[in-house]
Amino acid sequence: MKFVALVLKIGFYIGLLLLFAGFVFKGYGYLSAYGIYALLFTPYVFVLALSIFYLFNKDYKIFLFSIILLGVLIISTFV
Amino acid sequence: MEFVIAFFIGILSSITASMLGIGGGVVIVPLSLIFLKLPIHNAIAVSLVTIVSTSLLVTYKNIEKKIINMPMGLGLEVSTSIFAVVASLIAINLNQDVLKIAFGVFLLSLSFFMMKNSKSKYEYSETNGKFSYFDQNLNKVVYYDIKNIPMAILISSFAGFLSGMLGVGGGIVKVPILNAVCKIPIKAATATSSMMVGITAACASIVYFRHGYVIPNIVLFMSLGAVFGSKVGLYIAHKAKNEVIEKVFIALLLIVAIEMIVKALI
Repeated sequence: MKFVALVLKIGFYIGLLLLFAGFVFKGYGYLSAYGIYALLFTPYVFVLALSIFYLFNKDYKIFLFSIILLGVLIISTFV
Repeated sequence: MEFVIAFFIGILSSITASMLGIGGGVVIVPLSLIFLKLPIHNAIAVSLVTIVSTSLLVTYKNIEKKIINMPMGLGLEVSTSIFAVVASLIAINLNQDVLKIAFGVFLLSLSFFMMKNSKSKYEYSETNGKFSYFDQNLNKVVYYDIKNIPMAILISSFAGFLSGMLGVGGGIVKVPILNAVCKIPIKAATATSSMMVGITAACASIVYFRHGYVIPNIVLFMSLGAVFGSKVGLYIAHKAKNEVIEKVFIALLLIVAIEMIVKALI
């Protein structure tokens, strides 16, 4: 589970780093957009990591919840 | 200058979250409107992304402590996310004044709710239950069961709707009800809610981001402020009297709420 949690920390720092790079290097505004994407999609990656974790731990009930949630999240992105 | 203000708004939201359990959108949206002069759609978008970034770190810490109730969090989050996205789709098509009035009414209700519940403490069952976590303060394992799941789904969905519509986390709605109605210990309810809030805010803010309402530089400084503020907040929380701060906070909420409604109506 600690490995799954690491996804959150890594996502947070990558997001902030990209936002900071976009702020410092004025000509590279797209870095800021990537930073926002990194922050917003980290919870998605977290849910995916959780589903894999519970699948390998054979906890199929929570795996099902996380897969349904992931599906909802992905669909909502394109609404 | 606006980045400095954004940084301090982040600090303030984090301090109030540490001390009163109310932070995020309730503080960020009104202060962004007043001090940064942002249009309300931008304020909501910035608030949601900041909530995501702070939730990531809080959830990381809570997973380490093993307090989060994953089955409940993931189960409830399905309907919560759907409602958050629907609400954000509605909100981006709403007039600014209508949103300001809605936010003002929300703040008014919140301040009345806080006044009513300021002295009550929520009890929880400590019998053997299906779920458990180790409480460091009590120095023992707390067991609990979840009761009244349909109510939890209903409340959580409502919190998701509020999140997408007004840019608030929704923890203020979820935590007391999960605790009082579903009999989940306050620590587990808070930790689970903070994980859910991040996921809800992420899917709601994507709608705002696609419509160009997110201002990355403001998000950066608010997030940095929030991270810094969470450490300061914990320190102040031990020193200050929460009752006094809570009363000041309620008074400020009332003033901001009335100001927002009046400005929108004029």
